[in-house]
Amino acid sequence: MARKGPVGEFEQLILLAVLRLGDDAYGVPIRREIEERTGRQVARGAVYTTLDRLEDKGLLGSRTDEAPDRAGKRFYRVEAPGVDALREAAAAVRSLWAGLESVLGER
Amino acid sequence: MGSQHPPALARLFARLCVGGSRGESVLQELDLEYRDAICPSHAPRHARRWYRREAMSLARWYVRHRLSRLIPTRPRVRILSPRPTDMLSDLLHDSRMALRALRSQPVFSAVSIGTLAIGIGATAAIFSIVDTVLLRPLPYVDSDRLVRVWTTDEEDGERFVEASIDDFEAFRDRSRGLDTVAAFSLVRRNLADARSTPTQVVVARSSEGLLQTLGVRPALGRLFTNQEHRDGLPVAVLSFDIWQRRYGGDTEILGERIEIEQEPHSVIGVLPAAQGYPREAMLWRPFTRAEQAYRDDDRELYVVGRLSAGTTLEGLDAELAAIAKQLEAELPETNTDVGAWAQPLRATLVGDVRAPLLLLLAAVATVLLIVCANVAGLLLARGAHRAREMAVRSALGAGRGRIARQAITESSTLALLGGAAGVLGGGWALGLLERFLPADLPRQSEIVLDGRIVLVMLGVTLLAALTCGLLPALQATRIGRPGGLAAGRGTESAARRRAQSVLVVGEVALAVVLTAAAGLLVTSFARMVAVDRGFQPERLLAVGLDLPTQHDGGDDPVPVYERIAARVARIPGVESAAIGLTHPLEPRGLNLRVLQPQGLPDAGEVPQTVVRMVGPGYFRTSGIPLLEGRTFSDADRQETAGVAVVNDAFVRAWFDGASPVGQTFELPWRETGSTIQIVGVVGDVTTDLGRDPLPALYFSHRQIAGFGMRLVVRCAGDPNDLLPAVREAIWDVAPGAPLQDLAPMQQMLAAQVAAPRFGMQLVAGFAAIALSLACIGTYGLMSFSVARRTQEIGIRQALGARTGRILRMVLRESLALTAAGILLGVVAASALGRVIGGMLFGVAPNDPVVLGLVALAVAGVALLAALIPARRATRVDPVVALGQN
Repeated sequence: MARKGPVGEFEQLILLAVLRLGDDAYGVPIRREIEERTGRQVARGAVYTTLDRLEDKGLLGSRTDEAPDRAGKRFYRVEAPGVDALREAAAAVRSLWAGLESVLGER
Repeated sequence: MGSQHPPALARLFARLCVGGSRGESVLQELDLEYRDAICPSHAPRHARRWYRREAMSLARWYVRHRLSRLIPTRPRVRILSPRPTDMLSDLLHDSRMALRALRSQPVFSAVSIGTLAIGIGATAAIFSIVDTVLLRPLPYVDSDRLVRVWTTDEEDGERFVEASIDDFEAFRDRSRGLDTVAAFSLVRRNLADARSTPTQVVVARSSEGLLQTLGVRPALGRLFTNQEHRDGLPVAVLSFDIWQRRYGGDTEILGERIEIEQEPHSVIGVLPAAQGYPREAMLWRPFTRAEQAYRDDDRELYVVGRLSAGTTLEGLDAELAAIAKQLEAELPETNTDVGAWAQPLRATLVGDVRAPLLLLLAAVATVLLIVCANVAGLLLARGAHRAREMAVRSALGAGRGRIARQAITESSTLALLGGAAGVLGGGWALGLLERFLPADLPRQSEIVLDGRIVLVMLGVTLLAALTCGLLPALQATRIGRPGGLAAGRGTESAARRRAQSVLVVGEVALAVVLTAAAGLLVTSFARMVAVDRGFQPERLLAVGLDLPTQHDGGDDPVPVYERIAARVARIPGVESAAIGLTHPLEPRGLNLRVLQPQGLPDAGEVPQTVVRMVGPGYFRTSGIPLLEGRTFSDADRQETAGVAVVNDAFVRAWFDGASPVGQTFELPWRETGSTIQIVGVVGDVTTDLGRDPLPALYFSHRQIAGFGMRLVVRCAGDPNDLLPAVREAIWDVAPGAPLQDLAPMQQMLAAQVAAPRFGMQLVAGFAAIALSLACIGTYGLMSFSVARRTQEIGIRQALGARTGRILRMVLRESLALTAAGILLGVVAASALGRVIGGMLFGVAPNDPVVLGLVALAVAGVALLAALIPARRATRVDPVVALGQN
């Protein structure tokens, strides 16, 4: 049951992490990627449940692999709706950012 | 370590909470992390504590997750409506990405856009010329319905003969296939007015309705009325050109009095630019009453007509042939074996220009193809560096179609930028070219790079974009398969290498074809220029003297001509001067048949023989060799025995090679003595490279006078230095006499070959560009190849391979490609050669020497291009190379 709607912030982080990891996008590295890049602690459960939810929404797809060092892991990939969702979210944020860059500035 | 196994209870609990078919993989990942990351670096107790904590976290999250799924949640409010993801927004997005990518790689972008600009610009310039001259309709109303009517001489096999007055009137009155018919004849006349010095102009004497038939409207004033035609009134219409040049575009010109051949005329109109017909005419006037009354059998009229509605060209031809047959019956003395036919007007203007222009177009298209191949190669090479980006796009779910579209958008952006630069550059180049165009290129003044050309170039650009982008697009869709981001540096796939190799082979082949064409044209031109024309053109100048017959000496201009020759001969720096009907490069003369000679050997089919009158010293001055007997001397005068000199072709045609000296023939109409004796044989003169010299018969102009004579002057030094002196000397004897084409013979020779020279220079230029591009393409591929094999080379060097071996190994690949390209090119050149066969002089289209030299040249250039990266390969530091991964 795919349900459209804006993606939350954490969902976006998950999607982006899956993109970055390409073929090696499964739970453990996804979590590690987010933690390293955002500097936040991320609960394992949050990662997995969000992955599930995103897959339910149709924004992610997943598969298993029989290869020796890849068995027992579930690999995710971003589907086209997921790309669109990311773009929408980015555009929304950008449009609200517009004009405020100078005020908020870079640290 | 025993603690490899996670705490069983915690695991079980978590497994239950996670549930579902996916649950096992979640827990397995946890186990793996526990085993691989946590246990090795932590004490067993801490490791287990970690596991329990994580397992609980999982459990908590999943319980919440599963519960939330069971309870239907409130539908989220849509804050944003999703943007339509259609082709247009994709296109805009891709274009922006493409521009950003181009900006990030300035060198690549500059080179690609630069070469594209060159290719498209050159194409734009050449196509402008071809389009104007060949494709565009003439600037007349319904120009496809306009024809020129020619008569034919069945006996001599001449297809393009002018019409006589009787012919013209018959066509005009009897033809139903022609709506309107008009005629004109071209003459050179002296023009004098209050503005500047007298000059010779080309005058078109026209019949009723000539300009109206074409639909020409005057830019100023009006055209002739029928009454003015009937009465032969002295009114004149000016061409746009002469109105600008001589009269400064003066809008008050109407009503101005000018003198044509001392006869006052009134200017009543000016034609718009480039619309005058015939093109050479500077002035139009009606036939005078006297001219209309004088009916001779000469065929001097050019006939123009407009097809009536519903008539086809074939239908008109048939009707004209029938009318010609009628005339044959009615006027047997003049119209026996005379036919008639119609030629589309455009063909008369464009004629033999079609083939060379199309060749130029083909040449520039070849350059464009090579440019596209080069840019495609650059794009392919760049594609290797962007493997990571392609992998991301593929992971993003972009299908092959989408990736291909993105790649094409990139190449299109490149092409459009290059195309814009090219069209601008092409316009500038066209302006430059126009100064060097051969003077006899028809419709030159109409050439312009306008919106129509720009549109065509847009199409060409997009086609180029497709050509450039296709291979890289196909390539890009193959990246992103297993490997992707995790792969190390971009792997040079075998498919890309193959594509690049194909491109290089193609470029080399095309360059060979173009260089072969250039080589053939250059050889042809060299042979053309080397032909022995039968006279000595160096240090020789010529000028036309059309002395008006009312000069001193009465009606007889002969003494005047001779005085002029004598006076010019006295100029310091002049070796000799002489009079003749023509200068050596002019083919005109009287037709011997007109003189009705009797007593010449019956040669069966009467060969076309040209008759000219010359003064004493003509042959010596011109450098025409005397082969037998003597030429004219002072002793040959009006009262003495009639003499004639013939050329070698005459001897072959009339006397079958036997000596004609001493033979006589009769000109019954000559009052001062009808017997003419042949006293000498001179060499043949090739007036026109395309034709063999005609048999010629020369009379002394003292015995049989000619009109509109030429003066030839042999100079000691540069003839250009003596031009003013000659002019002065002539005016000393005949003040104000109009001079025609005073110029060194060398200049006239050059003008004769101006068109082939222009074509040759352009094609050679294109060939040079093509070679450089192919060179760059080979260099690029070789650099890449060497970079790829750096590790291998390093190993070999470490193993002791010598520089020479490395060089040979690296070169072998490029040599193979080059050889394939050259072979392909030579085969193609041989096959296509016959296309330009008609334009070649003295060299066959598949001349093995030329092809061989071309192959060697291209091989040399390609070898040079490959050598530089090859040498770089030998300098590879084995340590660095081996360390590379």
